[in-house]
Parts: sequence; structure tokens; C-alpha cells
Amino acid sequence: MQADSPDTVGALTASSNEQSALPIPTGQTDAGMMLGFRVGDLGFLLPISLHCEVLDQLSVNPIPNVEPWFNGLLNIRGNIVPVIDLHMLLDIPVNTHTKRYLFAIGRGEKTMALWIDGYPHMLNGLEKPLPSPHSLPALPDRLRHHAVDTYVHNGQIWLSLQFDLFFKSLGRQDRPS
Amino acid sequence: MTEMPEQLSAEIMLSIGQLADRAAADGYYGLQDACLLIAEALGELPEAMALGLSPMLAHLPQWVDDYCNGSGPAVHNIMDILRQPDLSAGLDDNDYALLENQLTEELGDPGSKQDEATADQSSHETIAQLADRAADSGYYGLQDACLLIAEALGELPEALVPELSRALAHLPQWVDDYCNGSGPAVHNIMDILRQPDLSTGLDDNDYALLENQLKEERVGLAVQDGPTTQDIQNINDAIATPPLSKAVLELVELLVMEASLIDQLLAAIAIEQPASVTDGLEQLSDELERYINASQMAGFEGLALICGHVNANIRLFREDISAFNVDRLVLLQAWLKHVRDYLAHFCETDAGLYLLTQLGSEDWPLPVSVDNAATILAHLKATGAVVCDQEQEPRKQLASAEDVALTLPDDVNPELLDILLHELPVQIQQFSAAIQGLHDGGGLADLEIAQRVAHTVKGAANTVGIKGIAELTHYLEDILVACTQDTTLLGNGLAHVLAEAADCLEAMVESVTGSTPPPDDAQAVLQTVLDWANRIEQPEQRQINVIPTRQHDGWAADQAQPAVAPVAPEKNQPVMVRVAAEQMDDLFRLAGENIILNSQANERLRRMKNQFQAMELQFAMLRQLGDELEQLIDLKDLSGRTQSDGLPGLDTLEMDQYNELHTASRRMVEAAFDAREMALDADKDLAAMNQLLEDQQSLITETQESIMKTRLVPVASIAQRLQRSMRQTCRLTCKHCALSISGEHLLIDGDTLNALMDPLMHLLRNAVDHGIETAQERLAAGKPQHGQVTVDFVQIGNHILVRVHDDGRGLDFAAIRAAAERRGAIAPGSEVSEDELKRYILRPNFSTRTQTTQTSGRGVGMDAVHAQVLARGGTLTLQSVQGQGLVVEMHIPLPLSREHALLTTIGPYRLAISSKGIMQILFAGANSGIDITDNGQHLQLGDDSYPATTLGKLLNIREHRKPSQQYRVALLVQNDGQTTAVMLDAVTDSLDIVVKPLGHYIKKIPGILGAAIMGDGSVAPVLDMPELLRATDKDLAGYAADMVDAGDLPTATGLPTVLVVDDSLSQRRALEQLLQDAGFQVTTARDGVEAAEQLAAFRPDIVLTDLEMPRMNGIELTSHIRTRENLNTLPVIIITSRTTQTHRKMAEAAGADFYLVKPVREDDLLTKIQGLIEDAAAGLLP
Repeated sequence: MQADSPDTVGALTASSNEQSALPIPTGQTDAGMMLGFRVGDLGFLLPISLHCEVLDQLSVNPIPNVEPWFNGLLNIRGNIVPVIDLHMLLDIPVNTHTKRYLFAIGRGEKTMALWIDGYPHMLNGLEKPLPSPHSLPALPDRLRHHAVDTYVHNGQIWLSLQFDLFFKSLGRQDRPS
Repeated sequence: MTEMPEQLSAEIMLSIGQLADRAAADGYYGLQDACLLIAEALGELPEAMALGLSPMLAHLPQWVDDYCNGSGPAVHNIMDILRQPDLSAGLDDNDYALLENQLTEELGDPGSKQDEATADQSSHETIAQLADRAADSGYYGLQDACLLIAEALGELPEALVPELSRALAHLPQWVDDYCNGSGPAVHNIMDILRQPDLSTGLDDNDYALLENQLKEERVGLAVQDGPTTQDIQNINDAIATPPLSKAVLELVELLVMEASLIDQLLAAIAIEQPASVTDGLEQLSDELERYINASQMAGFEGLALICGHVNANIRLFREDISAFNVDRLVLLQAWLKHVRDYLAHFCETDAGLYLLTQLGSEDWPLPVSVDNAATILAHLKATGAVVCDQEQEPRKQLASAEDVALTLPDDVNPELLDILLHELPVQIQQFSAAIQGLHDGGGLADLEIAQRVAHTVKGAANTVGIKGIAELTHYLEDILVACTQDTTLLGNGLAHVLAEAADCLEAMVESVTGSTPPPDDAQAVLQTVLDWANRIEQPEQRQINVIPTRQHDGWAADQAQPAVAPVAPEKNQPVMVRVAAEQMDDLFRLAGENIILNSQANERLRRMKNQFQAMELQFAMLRQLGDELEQLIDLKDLSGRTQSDGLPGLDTLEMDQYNELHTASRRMVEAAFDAREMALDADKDLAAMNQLLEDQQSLITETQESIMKTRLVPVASIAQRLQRSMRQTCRLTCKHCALSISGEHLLIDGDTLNALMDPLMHLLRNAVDHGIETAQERLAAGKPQHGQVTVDFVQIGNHILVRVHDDGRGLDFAAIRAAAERRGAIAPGSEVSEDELKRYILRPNFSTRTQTTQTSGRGVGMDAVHAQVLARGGTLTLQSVQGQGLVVEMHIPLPLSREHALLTTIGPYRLAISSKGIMQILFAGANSGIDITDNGQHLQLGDDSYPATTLGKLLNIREHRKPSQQYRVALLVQNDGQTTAVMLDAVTDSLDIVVKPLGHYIKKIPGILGAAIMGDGSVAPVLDMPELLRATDKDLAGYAADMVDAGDLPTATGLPTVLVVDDSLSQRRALEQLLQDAGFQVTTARDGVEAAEQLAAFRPDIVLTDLEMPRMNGIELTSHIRTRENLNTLPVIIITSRTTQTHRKMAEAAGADFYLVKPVREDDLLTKIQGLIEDAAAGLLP
């Protein structure tokens, strides 16, 4: 399902001139406008130029013999997309009061889908990044290596992540448990 | 009479005239007379006869020198010429005697001699130098002899007696003769030592010992003097200045190599053993026959004649074996040395003269006659002229249509072509910009850029084989080089020509990249460029800054001549379009999507058909019910009619009476009938729909196959690389082996073929190094002397079978067993089958060799080959019979779109099982004949028993089963030569699927090929059963981990690393490919700056750099390396097409270890690299 309310970012699809082969850009953006989504208490930022979409009515097809956080595979318009569960991966408790959505980041074969809590939001007027994201104590190790900047917005900490590298690092850990 | 002998005769005459002048100038009037008499007599001779005397006359300058230096036999020799019956000198005996007297007297005249003391002094020094030289060459006996002479001389109180002085004057010549292997040298040197005036203090025994040493070491060193180092170096030196084509180089190299074979045969002859002499001479004779053929084929007719003559001598030797002594052996070795010298300098004018002279020596039982010598000399000269002129012709005058042809060679290397096509447009743009800059009055910087780009493009075009571009850039480079030396040349006229040429070059590149036809004016432009290049070369015309016009230059003439071939039509070259690989991948993916959608539509249609069939049954039932109802109503009607009141006046039989029930039942019957009709129509439509979908399916499949074809390349495209690798390995291992390749016409996916290269190269190196025996071993084993390796490519369904077969010694199971025991893999003494031993070789880091060799055994073993094959989803099997060879079979799946699969479900998982490796599907049942024994550990089928497992166990899925619940299906899966039964509950469907990768981020999951989209849109992982079985095998668990990522494959650690620096991508890639094929690790840099950056981070074993590059050139890079403390011993080879001494000296001054001029022979380069790396490792480099 494409998000339709202004609050949930009408333009979840990317700018039209983006090439599918381009790697997912790093979390940095010049415009100061970012797309934010949440997984448990963690907030993540995506540049608005990046193609992403909220998926509905798609069932995840499980794969045997892989890490539990590797939920399975999706068929998004003929592309096979892996689904990961950040809650499980990062050991984040699932909030039963918030609806979870499947959220796909990237385009073509360079797509990865995650379970996120609630709809993503457009974030305006982010303050300057905190001095060093690496010094933040609560950040799980897996994220710490790929975090670019950390922002505080309305009291919530938002993490700008190098998703491309983060996903690649996950790809190498999907061996049988 | 041909032109050649006339020239020769004239040359000799001229030379003799000069000798006479020289004699007169020195006051030797008798000698002058003798020379003039010879010249006069020669002038009156017919050319043919003069030519016959030429071998003898060739010595005249030397004899005149000897005479002037006071040597006795010179008089005799010169008189001999005059006494030749062919040379009618017109003198009688008295005249001869007078002349001889005069010559002898003048020789003894002390007044005309140099100052004796000075001569003594200088000869003393010279002898010491000769001793040093002898020691350098390893002739220690000769060194001793020289030192003895020098020492004895030093003790002489006063001036030398004339005789001794004369003899000493010859010493340098005799030392030369000794080194060249001429027979009497030993005798002559010993004669000096035995001079009574020279008190050497040696007794007879000492003399005999020294003489023996001199004789023996000459034989020994002549043998050691292998062809691979010094001779090849000689050839290189000889050809360094005028670069010869690869073809000629290969021919010469071949002849040199063959000469080394003959040398080995000679070395093997033990004089003291008559049997050895007999066999040796017989083999020698056979080998010479082959050499004659090879020489003829290579165009060395003169050499062939010489060999024929030597063979005639060998036949005489064979007739009287007892006469074959050490001197004769030395004679043959000396002859071979001259052959090598000749091959190293065959392009020079006097090449082969020594060879011919030696053949005239009386030491041969059958010296070459004067007539024969004349014929041979003519052939030798012709060879030099033809072969060399062909290769190093002066710059041509006329541009031909062929010179601008843009046709690609048949054996073009697709990878290099691709790179060239990628880089050409950018380079040409740079060139045009620089030329435009020049046109607009730019400076030296523009000139240098243009020259560098022209140079790079020339090299790249030559590498790929696009003659038109290579030729044009070649002459442009000549002009630009001249301009950099003299910028005044760059008037508007030349700038205009350069601009025109740049445009033409652009058009050529556009044509090659497929966007336009070849430029019409290419030939004309090349002609103009040629004219300029020729004009610039002539100093008197350099300043004439006039545009050479076509009307009065060669091109017009060329056009006017109908004999000149028209522009070669590019008919063989289809128009090419370059498309990004990504776009092709997209098309391929979309075609795959179409197949999936089509199969989904088919699935829907199947369901609809089923529904319709059900509906038709319902309709039939409805109609039946209607009929029954109608009958019931009719019956009821009849029974009730008697009681009812009919219409007045009408009998009940005369008028049917209907009620609403009648109407309803009738309507119902009609509706049921209509429904059936409609169902039939719909059925027809469904059938039509089915047909359409089938048509669509075949169309989509065809589309996908067409897209697949864009990735297909013929196997032939790698044939050359394989052959080259084979040749190199043979040379390195000194073995003789032929490679034959079958299935070259086969078209295979380019990625698969590329992935096959590494394993194939390794298998070939392995086959030669470990498999093929030495020639002696082979002959002893009753095999042909030369080994045979065959590589077969066969397509079997969706797989390609690559079979590498050698007829060598096969696997050494004892060695494998020993190695496995050493590693603790098997217990000593335990029973292990050959099949199991074969599997050990495929294990990581398993090698039977304790030492690594240059060719294989360098860390990359069969395990790496196996892992690479597994990574492509293939299998590898070995078959070996000891002593008969090894067959390695690789089955590699082709990345075809569809794969056959079985569908099953287990727990929450819906899985597709690829048919790969599945030999049989067994359905369990009462009469199936299947027994599960040993608590499910084995499956018994008839007499066969297979180890058994379940799919659940393989996938680590916990199953909740009742103990009585039996598995219904068993799959017999073959893996590494073993068959395993995998049991599961059911196979729900069997269908063709499209296997897709798991996206960009998930590289590989062990046991899973990919995923397939099912008819209902869901995704099912596709299982690879053999891999799944391997992954759970504890012994092979290491593999599973290695297979996860191609980056984790066992790699060639510890291989020497070469840093290749070149600004041309195609040159860089060509070198990279060559070095990788030869077993080096290669990293590349685009220029000196990038190389310097890389060198800051790591230290390769050697650097290969181009000379001219942007930002930092090769010389600057070399200087940079030499100034860095941690790099200053790093070997550097500069490879360039610059042939001038200035460049060479600059490179040497900067500290380059070698300066090689293109085209560089691959073997030579590899030998040099290896030599430098070894020297560096041994700390021998400064």
C-alpha cells in the first residue's frame, strides 16, 4: 500500500530519475529533509531521494535453515526481496500496541524489506547532528559500525545509517544457525 | 644473373680496393700489389665465379690485418687466394715466388713496425683483460693459460723476440675462437705456452693437464650455454632496435629452441662409449632432418642448406665412428653456436658468414665447396633481406585500402575489444581536443598530450588488431614526435592535416563502435599523413611547410591504378550496438517475469477448465433433472386428466391442457440446454485461450533465449589463451606437450566461460607439471615422446561438460595416501578405496607435493578448482588409471532461465527442489520394493543399499511425526560419486521454474540455489540437494563456509604479485591477463601517481610500467621507487614502444632493471620477471 496521507509522506516513491542500479546512498542529505521510521525505540532516517515503499497484503515466504531474524522472501513486482526483522536482530521488544508494516528500501534487486512500527514520517528542520554517534551508549554494535550521524528531533533520537553497507553486512551473516 | 650477387661482387671489389689503399698507406707495397692483383682478376671474372670465391675473400680483411700485425700464415693465406685456379691472376710461378718474397720481407722489416716496447706493454695488459674475460665466461682453464702467459711475459727481461710477439698478437683472436668453439684455438694457445722463449715453468704433465682442461671446459660450457637465457637475450638485443613481428619472433624462437635440442643431443654423446656415439649421431641426424624442415618452413632456406651439409658430414661420421673424436664434437658444437649467432643476427648484412666460413674448415670430413658456399650465401642473404625487409620495411609511401580497414580479426579477444571500445571514444576526444588546441596555436603541452594519446591508441589498436586505427595513429605519432623535437614544423599546413586526421580517427572510432559506416576519406587522410611523415624525415624537406597535395603525390597515383584493391568492404562485420550490461540484465529479468506471468495465467486457465468441467457436469445433471421433471409432470397430467373437466365439446385427446408447471418445466429444460450450449462455446474459447497462452509461452521463451544469446561467446575465444598457457608451462617445465581443444564452436554464456578460465588454466598447468612425464620417461613407458592434453567442451542439456584429459602418469594414489596420513586424515594402515583417496585431493589445501613449483603447486590446488566449480553450482569428478593419465570432468550448469523442479511442503515451508543431482524419485508403497532399514539410516532398493536421511534433517526442521508415519517419497541424490536417499512426505507438483537470485544483499545460502516465483505469486526457495548434502557432511563442512561468498574462495596466497602500471586500459588488461594466466597475482594502476599511492600501502614483488603516462611517467615512477627506502630494491621493468637510446638511457639512469621494447615476447617477459623476482628474493639486486 502506498502511503497517502500528507503526514505519512505522500511521495514515498523515489524521484523518477533515480537509477535502479545505484547503490543506496548514505544517510547524508543536503536538503535537511529526511524520512524517518521507527523500530521499537530506535528512529532511522532515510534521504528522501531514496526509493522506498510501505507494503501491504504481501505475505512473507519463510526460508528454512537461516537466522531467525531473516524472515523470508517477498515478491515485489517480480523482484525477490529478503525480509529482515530488526526487532529480532537488534533484540528490540515488539510493541504490541503499534501496527507493524513491511517497509521496502531500494529498488530492483537492491531492495531489502524491514518490519517497521507505524508509518514512516517526513522530518523537517532536523537540528545539527550530535557530535559522535559512536559515543552513544544504547546503540547496538551492528548499527554502530554503519551509523553516520545522530539527530535529536522532538526528544527522539534519529539515526542516519549507511543502509547499503548495513544490509551487505547482514547478507554475510545469513548462514545456518 | 640476379641483382644480389652483382651487389655482392661490387662490395667485395670495393672492399679489396680499400685494403690495397690501406696497405700502401702503411708502406706494405707488396701487400698492395697482392690486393690489386686480386681485385683486377676478380673484375675480369664472371659474376658466378666471383661469388664462388666470396667465402674465401671474406677472410681477406682479417688476413690483411694479420699481415699488418706481423703474423706469418697471413702471407701464405693471401698467396693462396692469388693461386686459386678460378682467379686467373695471370702470374707464373716466378711471379708468385717474387710476390711471396716481397710480402715476407716487408713483414720482417722492423722499420715499418710499431714500437715493440709499446706493443709489449699493450699486449701484456690485453692478456690480463683476456684472462678476466675468460673467467667471466666461466673458462677457468683459459684464464689460467692467459695468466700463465702474462706472468711469464712479465718475467721476460727485454723486448720480445719477433716470433713470440707475432704469436701474442694473435692471442685475442684465438681466445675469441676458443670462446666461439673453433677447433684449433686450443692448439694455438698451447703453442704460445710452449714457446721456448716464454719460461712458464710447466712440465709436460702440466701442459697436458692444461690442454685437457681447455678442451673439456669448452665442451662443458658449450653444453651449458642453453638457449633460454643468453641466446634469447641475444635475439632480443638484435631485434630490439628494429622490432619484428610476433610471427617472425616465434619462428626464430622455435629454431633457437630446436637448436637447443640438438645441443642436448650433442651433450649426451659420450665419446669414450661407441654405443653412445652411434645412437647420438643417429638421433642427431634425425633431428637435423626435422631442423631442415623447420628452417624451410620458417623461410630460412640458407640455414636449411647448411644443415643439409652438416647432416652429410654426420653421415660420414657415422660411417666411421672411430674417427669421431672430441675435436669433431667440439666442431659440431661450434657449428651450433654459429647457428645461434646467425639466428640472433639474421637481419644483418653479413649474418651467417661465420657459419659458412666454419663450414669451409678442413676439420670437416666434407667441407663446403666454393660453389655450394656461393649458393648458400645467396640464400642466407636472401633470408635476411626477405624476412627482415618484410618486417622492418621503411615507412611506406602509399596508403592502401587495407591500411585503413576497420575489420576485426577473427580471433579477436572479446574482453580486450570491449575495453578498447570503452576507452577509445574518450581517448579520441582527448586527441581531438589537443589537436584543436594545436590548431588554435597551442603549445608543447597539447603536442605532448596528442602524441601520448596517439601512442596509447596505437598500442591498444594493435593489441586488439584494428589495423586502420593502428596505422593512422602510428604515422600520426611519428609526426607528433618530430614536432615535439622541432616545433617550427607546426605550421598551419601540418596543423590542418592533423586536424583532418583527428576527424578521420573519430569517424573510424564511431564506425568501430557501430554507429556509422567507415569514413570514406580514410585512405586519403592516411596518405596525407604518410606524406607528411615521410617528408619530415628528410631534412632537406623539413622546412618546406607546404601541404603535400594529393594531386601530385602518391595517393592520386594510387587511386589511378586499377590494380589497387578497392576499400575493403566491411561485410563480415555486422553492425554492433553497445548496450550496458545492466540493461541486458533488466531485459533478461523482464523476460523471466513474462514467463512467470505466463505460467500464472496458465495456472488460472487450468483452474478455470476444471471449474468448467465441474459446471458441465452440473449442467448435465440439471438437464437430466429437467427431463425427469417434465416426465413426472406429463405422467401426473395423464393420470389427472380423467378426473378433470375438459373443455366443452372437445375430447381430452384433441386438446392438451397446460398449466404453469408445464411452462416452468419446459423453460427449465430449455435453459439447461442453452447453458450446455454456452458451456460448449466457453470451452471452445478456453481451448483457444490455451492455444494463445501456449503460443505466448513459446514466444516468451524464444525472447528470453534471444536475450541469453547476447551473452554467448564461442569457446574458441579462449582457445588461444589456453594454448598460450600450455606453451608457457611446457617451456617452464622443459616438457613437450600438445593441447587439442574440441567443441570450440560451442556458444557458452560469457560469465560461465570466464569463470571456467581459472580452473582450466590450473588444470592445464597441473596436467603438464604433475601429469605429463619427461620425454625419457614417456619413451621408457612405451608412450609417444610428446604428451597430449585434450580439453573437450560438450553441452549436455542445461549443463556444460568440460573434460580435461592428459596421457601422463595419472594420480599417484600412494602419494595421496601418504599425504593424507601425514595430515592425519586417515589412520596409517586403514583400508581406503581409490575413490575415497580421490576425494582427499579435492579437500582444501591438500597437496602431495612438499615443494611448490613455478607452474602449479603454488597454493592453488585441485581444492581451489573444486571450490570454483562448486561455486558455479557444478560438480567435478576425477578418473585416473595409474600410468595412463587423468581425466577431470567438470559439469557446470549454464545460467539458463528455466530449471526443472519438484515442489514439496514441510512444516511452514513451501520448497522447490531443483532436479540437479536427482537420479531417481521413488514412491513408497506396499509394492514399491523399498525398505527402510537401520532405524531409517539406510534405504534398501532391491540389492542396492543407500545411506538415507530426511529433508527435515537436512534443513534442520523439527518435524512432529507419529512413529508409524512413513515417508512416502525418496529422492536418490548423487553427490561426489555417492548416492544418498533423501526422504520426504510428498511431491506436490513437478514443473519448470525460473530460479532467481536472492537479491543483491544475500549472496548465497548453503544448499539454496535461489528462489522461484510460483504460479500464485508466492516465493519458494529452490533447494540444491547435492550442496545440501555436502553442507551437512562434517568432513566437508569447511567447504560450506568457503562457498558462502565467492570472495571467500580459497585463493592463491603466496603468489608473487605484479603491479602493472599503464594508462591504456586494454594494454593493462592484456598484461594482467597474461600474468594471471602465468600464475601471478596482479594489481593495476593507471599512472605513476596511482602506482605510487598503491606502493605506499603494499609492496608488490615487481613493477611493470609503461613509459609514457599522464601525471607521472614510467621514468619518474622508477625514480620515485628508487628513492624510497622500503622500495629501492623493488624490481622495475619498463615496457614501451620507444626505441631510442635516449629513452633507454633515461630509464637506466632512473634505475629500471629492464627496458623492453614492444612488441615484447611473452616468454621473454615472464622469464625476466621470474629472474628479477628470484634475484630480489636472493638479495642479488642492488
